[in-house]
Amino acid sequence: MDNRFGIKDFFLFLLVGIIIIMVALAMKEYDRQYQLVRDLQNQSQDQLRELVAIHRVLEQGVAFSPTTGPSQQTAADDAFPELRKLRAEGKYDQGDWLVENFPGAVGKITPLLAGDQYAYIIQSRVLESLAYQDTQSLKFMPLLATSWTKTDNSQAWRDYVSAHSKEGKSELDIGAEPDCPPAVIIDFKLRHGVTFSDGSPFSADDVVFTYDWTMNPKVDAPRDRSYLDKIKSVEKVSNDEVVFKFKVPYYLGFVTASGMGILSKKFYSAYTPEQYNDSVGLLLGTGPYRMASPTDWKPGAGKIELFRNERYWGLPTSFDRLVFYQVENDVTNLVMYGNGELDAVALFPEQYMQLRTKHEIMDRSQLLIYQSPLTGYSFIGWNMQRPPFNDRRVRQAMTMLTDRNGICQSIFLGYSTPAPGPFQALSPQHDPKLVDWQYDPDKAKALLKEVGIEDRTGSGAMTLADGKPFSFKLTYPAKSQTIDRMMQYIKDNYARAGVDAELDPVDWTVMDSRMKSRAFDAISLAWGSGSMEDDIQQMFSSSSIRDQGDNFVSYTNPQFDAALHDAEYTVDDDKRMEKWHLCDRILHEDQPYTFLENAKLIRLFDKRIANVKLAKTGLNYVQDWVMPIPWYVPAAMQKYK
Amino acid sequence: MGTYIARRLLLIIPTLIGMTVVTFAVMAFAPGGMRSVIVNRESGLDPRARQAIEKFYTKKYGLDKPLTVQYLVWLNKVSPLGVKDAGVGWPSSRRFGFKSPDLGESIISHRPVLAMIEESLPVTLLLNVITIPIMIGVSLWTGLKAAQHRGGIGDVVGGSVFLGLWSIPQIWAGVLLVGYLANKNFIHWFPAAGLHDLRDDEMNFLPTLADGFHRGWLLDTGWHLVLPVVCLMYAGFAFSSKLTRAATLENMAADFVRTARAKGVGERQVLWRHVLRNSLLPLITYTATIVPGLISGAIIVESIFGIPGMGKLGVDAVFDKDPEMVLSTTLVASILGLISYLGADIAYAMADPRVSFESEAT
Repeated sequence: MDNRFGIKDFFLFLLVGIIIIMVALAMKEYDRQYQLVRDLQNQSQDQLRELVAIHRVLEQGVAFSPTTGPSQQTAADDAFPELRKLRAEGKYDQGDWLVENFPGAVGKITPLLAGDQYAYIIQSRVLESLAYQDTQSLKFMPLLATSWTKTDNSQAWRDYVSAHSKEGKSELDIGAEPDCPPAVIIDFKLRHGVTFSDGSPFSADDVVFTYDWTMNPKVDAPRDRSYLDKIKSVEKVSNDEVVFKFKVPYYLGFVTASGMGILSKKFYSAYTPEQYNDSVGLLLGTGPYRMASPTDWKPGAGKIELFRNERYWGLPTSFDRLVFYQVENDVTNLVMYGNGELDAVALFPEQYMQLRTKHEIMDRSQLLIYQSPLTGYSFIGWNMQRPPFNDRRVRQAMTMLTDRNGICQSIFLGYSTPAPGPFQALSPQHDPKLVDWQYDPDKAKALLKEVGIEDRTGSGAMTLADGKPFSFKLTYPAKSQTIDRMMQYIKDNYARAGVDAELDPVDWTVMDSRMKSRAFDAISLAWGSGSMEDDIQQMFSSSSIRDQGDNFVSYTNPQFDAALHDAEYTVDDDKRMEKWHLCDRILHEDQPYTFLENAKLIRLFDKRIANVKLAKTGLNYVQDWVMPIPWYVPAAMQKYK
Repeated sequence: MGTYIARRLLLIIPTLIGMTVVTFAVMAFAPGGMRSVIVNRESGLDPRARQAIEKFYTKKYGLDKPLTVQYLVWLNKVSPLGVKDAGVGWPSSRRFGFKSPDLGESIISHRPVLAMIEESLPVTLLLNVITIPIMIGVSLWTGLKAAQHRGGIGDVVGGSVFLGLWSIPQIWAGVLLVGYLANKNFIHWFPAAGLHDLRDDEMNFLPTLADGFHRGWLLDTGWHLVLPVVCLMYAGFAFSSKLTRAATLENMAADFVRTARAKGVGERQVLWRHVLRNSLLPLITYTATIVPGLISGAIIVESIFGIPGMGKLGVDAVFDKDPEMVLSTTLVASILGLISYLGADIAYAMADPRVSFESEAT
């Protein structure tokens, strides 16, 4: 009976348990206090540094110059003309918080390392680039740079390339040779008086450091390196001037150079690439917001908060704080919006149809339904290594057998439009003269007959020239009911014409391996779009067929390759658009994909958020772009004080 | 007993290796292979970056190496004894020896697995530290009462209610809880998501009454935990309560209880001192089986209430075929499982004097 566990022992265990819990809670509280003390310590150190710097400057004597300081900017280099106008009208009040939700967790926010869209949204508020694109005019506006000059040196570059071209050497390789003249030179004049949120001044060194750090092969930044690989060099001319030189006359050159989120050399150079790669929350920039600490953020808190950067050089931003919850569940997300805990919510068409009769939510909301050139398109890709899809007429016929208007109405409840091609109808890359393919089963059957596919038995089922039934597998990612319904709808379209499409929903891992090995008949997927001017080289260039590239449908057309090369290497915007239109026309005729639909976005915003407007980019604020936030809450409606 | 525990602890090592070999094999031979999702989370479908990212990380994580090599590399990483960098561990002069174990790195989030587990585990532990005692306590009490008043209204109604709760799918219950109890348009008694209020950084630690009632950080956390804990707990009542009821009934009819009653021991003492102790054994077994499952997280509750716990970490890793993350979370869950089974064996001996390891040890 020695080992009997009695009531006395139970209470002993209980007591020990309570003590352990109390100790854990005390530790938690100490941790909270420690964090607070550290924040205060950091702030007081920053203030001390600034005071010392001011004191030294004062000791040396200060000359007030009308040419220095951000306040002396001219209209041409003003980064915020629209917001200043609003401010002058008594609008664009400061204060309140903007509370939104990320339907996914953020694991890293360190620049270059974090690749998900949510991390970009955070970074885009903290880091700034040399210029930003205005969402309404689509013009590039000065930000950290006040002005720039572009020099098109492509003729000299072409002369050199044609004289030195060799078998197996790409234009990019030749362009990287030291003797090769740069194809494009962009000279940026930088803004005076800008500081990072730790008070250190911004200069050309930071721009050069950002480029060098990104291109350092030890830094885990393959994505950003792939974007910058056409830059030959970034050179400091003076503290206020940097020059970007390009290996090829790349059309996205300016977007690439002006869009780099500038890192602080002083802050980031304190880390080795290995330390940097291991970090999760190293984020410091010149932007209007800052993290509570530039080094201490850790994932797993359930929400991310950005605070107003009081040292911001530009027009003070509207919101005091940006808060992002991380709740995945759609229902919870909607309940939170309904409770007023969130200021904005994105809806699926089905959700919107259910919600639009709920007055308690709709009455306090602003509804915006819009199409954005940045949302991309869904498609069916036809494997051209497999007959009969290697015949253009068959692909055209399949597009005409696909009732894309029906898909938009039945599956997306009217909240999408048929995709005219790889470029959206709103995009300047799209040829507006193109007439989209219409749902026309009779014309499709006639085209199929031309290639020997017809109903030979009178049963309604199409057979190939060798008598075998026209049947293929339609592979797609098994991830959502909407896609399932769309594929079922398409299968029915084809079945009505006697074509048998066997639906093949697969896990993404399986899908990806089939794309790489080209082991499919037809595949349905969606491509996203990162910028207003889309790059289609990877999907349709014949050079992307080899090495398991993304031209998994094996589309080859020398005329298209030439047109694409021509467009990509034309620096002049107007001339380049004409060349994109030619690419668009060729793809329209060849139909390597049946371009299915461009989705519309449905979003609700709390009515207290003012100045939420439609723009050429969709909304007037693109969250994952570096740009000033045009939204604000009028002082009378502010709820977070 | 000491020998028994030592033997069981030693047996854990081959069991763990076996578990991870099976896990790795299932992942490696599943359609699609191991490399196909490397860019999935990060690049999405941005065609410009896909290839560059995949090429870089395939090389970095050695995903182009044979599967056996990949497994052995991971096994060497997690093992405290193995091949190490020169100058590391003991003896520092040799390449083979003791070193600190490393759970590897997630190929999807490019972060050390240990750091990710360290972030998620406390949340899951917190949920379970609250859930399990309440669940066991309520089940024990209701099970005992049901057995005491067998066939009574409490037994029938209580049993039916628990069975009814058990049959409600967790995802539905979670959505209903949020939709009704955390919704301004119905009963807004609880917050819909998260573990803390938006302004938790401005809160005192404990509740205060100065300038009106302020709930403070501790109470705020408890308030946020109510719905997740209820959602995690409700289905567990039925099984453990029925288990306690059955064991209690069996013991109440046992000879030693009759003897105790014959000796004149009071009914209350018979129940709490004699019957309860013996009725604990099946409950201990049950608790030992649910602990590893609860520690490895509750994906549904975490998703609905926006709680970043172990469940999401593990399930995402499986879907993403993130090899080192899957292997390491399996390893952690397996260790916890094996230790809780061992703990159950020891608890048997504490609860029941008839259980002894001495004969096995000698």
